[in-house]
Amino acid sequence: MRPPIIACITLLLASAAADGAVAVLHPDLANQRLDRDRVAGMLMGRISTWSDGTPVVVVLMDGQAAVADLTGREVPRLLRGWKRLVFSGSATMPTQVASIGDVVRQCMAARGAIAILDQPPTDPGTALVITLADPAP
Amino acid sequence: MDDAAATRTLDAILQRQGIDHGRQHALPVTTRRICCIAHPSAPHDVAATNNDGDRSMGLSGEHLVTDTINCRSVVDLVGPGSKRLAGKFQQAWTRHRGHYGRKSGSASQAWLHGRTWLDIQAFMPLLRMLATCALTTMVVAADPADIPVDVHGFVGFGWFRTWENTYLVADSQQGSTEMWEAAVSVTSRPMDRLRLGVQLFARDLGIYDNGQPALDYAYADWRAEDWLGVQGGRVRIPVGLLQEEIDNDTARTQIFLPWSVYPLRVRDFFLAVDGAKAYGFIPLGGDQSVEYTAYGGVSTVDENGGFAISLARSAYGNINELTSKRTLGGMLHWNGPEGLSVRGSLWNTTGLSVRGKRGNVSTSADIGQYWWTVASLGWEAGDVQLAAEYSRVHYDGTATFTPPGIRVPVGQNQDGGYVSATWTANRWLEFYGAVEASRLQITNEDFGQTRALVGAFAIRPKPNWSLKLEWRELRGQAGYVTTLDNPSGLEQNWRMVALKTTADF
Repeated sequence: MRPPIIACITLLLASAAADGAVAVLHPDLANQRLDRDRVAGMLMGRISTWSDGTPVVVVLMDGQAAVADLTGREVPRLLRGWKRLVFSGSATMPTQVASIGDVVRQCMAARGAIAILDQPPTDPGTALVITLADPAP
Repeated sequence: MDDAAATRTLDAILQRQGIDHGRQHALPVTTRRICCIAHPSAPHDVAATNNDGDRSMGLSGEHLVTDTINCRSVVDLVGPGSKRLAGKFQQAWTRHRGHYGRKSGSASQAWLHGRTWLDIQAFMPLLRMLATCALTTMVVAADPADIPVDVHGFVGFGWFRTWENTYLVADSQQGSTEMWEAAVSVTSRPMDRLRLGVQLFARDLGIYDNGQPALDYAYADWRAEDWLGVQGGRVRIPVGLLQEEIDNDTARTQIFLPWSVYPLRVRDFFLAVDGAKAYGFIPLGGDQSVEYTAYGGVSTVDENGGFAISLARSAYGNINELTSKRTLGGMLHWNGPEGLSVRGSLWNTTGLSVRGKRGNVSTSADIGQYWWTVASLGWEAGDVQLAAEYSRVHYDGTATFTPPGIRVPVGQNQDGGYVSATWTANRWLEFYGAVEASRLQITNEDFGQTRALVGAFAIRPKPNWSLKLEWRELRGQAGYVTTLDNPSGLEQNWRMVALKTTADF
């Protein structure tokens, strides 16, 4: 049975292009608080741990417009920024996957995993799926 | 003429002029020039005083050469009356250049340092560090089989050619393939908040570094909060926007970082400290945030590395000791609205000490304070990125050459900057353009005395494979080319083209 999505999880994205976009999270992250800045910080490698100390594991799938909406960079350019961090000793490389199914599998398997997709996966398994909403007016 | 002969000849000159070696600082300007040229039997363009008799002996490298005199021959300095002697010095220095300028490799390394690739002593610090990391990992993990380990790396090969001036290697005007680099990094997060990492790096850039493997970093990192992380061990340090990516050109479009700000040949000196750093990320809301890093430790450099070779090529001969007391610095970065970012960086090393031997002359330099500051401005808007940086380097100290016991002041007050634009045309094609400017002495030169126009593009057939071309049109020589590599004289206008391919995993 999927764990309930706790009300304190709010993921606020401003861009209309992100309509339908979701965050896919490891099931243990239900109590985490998220906001737009924090998600962007994770995707860009500036934030490397969740508030309870769990390491952030960024799962990236190419072609997701929501990632560019959050960071201002498409996935290939975002990854080049990650290489700069990794080869200067500032981060651990994100997990790169090629399919929605792989995104879900990674997010179920890796503690601290987070992925951003343009659309919710059809079979999320036990992963948390948070619909990304526009910020409150 | 060997070093001993050069020394004897100099002694004869000095004797004729009734000069007391030990009181060099009191000598007339003209005589002082001769002392500085001849005694270290060093390249005259980096070892001579300027016409004012001001700060004189240069160390070497982009950030260390001081008051370079681009004289075309020794005759310019010692005068026509000493033409025959000048010719002898010229021959000696040409041979000296041949020593350093020949194909780099184990033979020249052995000549430089009396050490071979098989000398296990050279690798002992690295082995100790690796063992420490491995042991730490084993201790902190309840079940080592569960330790997640990430292994990544990159390898790049290049070719470059210069026109009008020789640079980096003796055959650069014929084209050289002495440009490659490779790295392997291993990171692990054995428990919450803790990350361990180690990276080995090697490169060959003309006569610099020569493929010598080096420990780039080896750290333990504890991320307490978003706003506070602490890293200890051998840690990389940020200076300017780009210092951290100096080795990894997969992260950028151009092949070289701007020469006017980032030292190309002496990367090992400014790269990391054995010590610790604190860093963090503080969101300010509204897409704005602040990042900071503060670090302290010791800048340890390899006596076989690019910095030591730069020193050896100037006045100091074989470097047998290269130490500093401590390095402190920091970076503050503001991510502003609409893709704007501003960064300030400060790097300071205290007590830099160089000891060397050139023939029978013991050489040394002691630098009290060595400062490097960089102000940076960046802007990202979709596929276009703009950057502008201004860098300033300052140091003071003294150099000593014994015999005969000459003490000369050394110092530099250098600045440089650039403006660049990068355009990502599509997923596989990027363009880069920049204007760079620099000067070796702020007090004596106009900004832009040396300047470069740079154009580059990168093709990325795969996300982890790049093909690049870079073209540099330069005017001036400050800190880049010397008469050591160009004994017939330096050309004011020169150019360089480089090709490179890099793959990473």
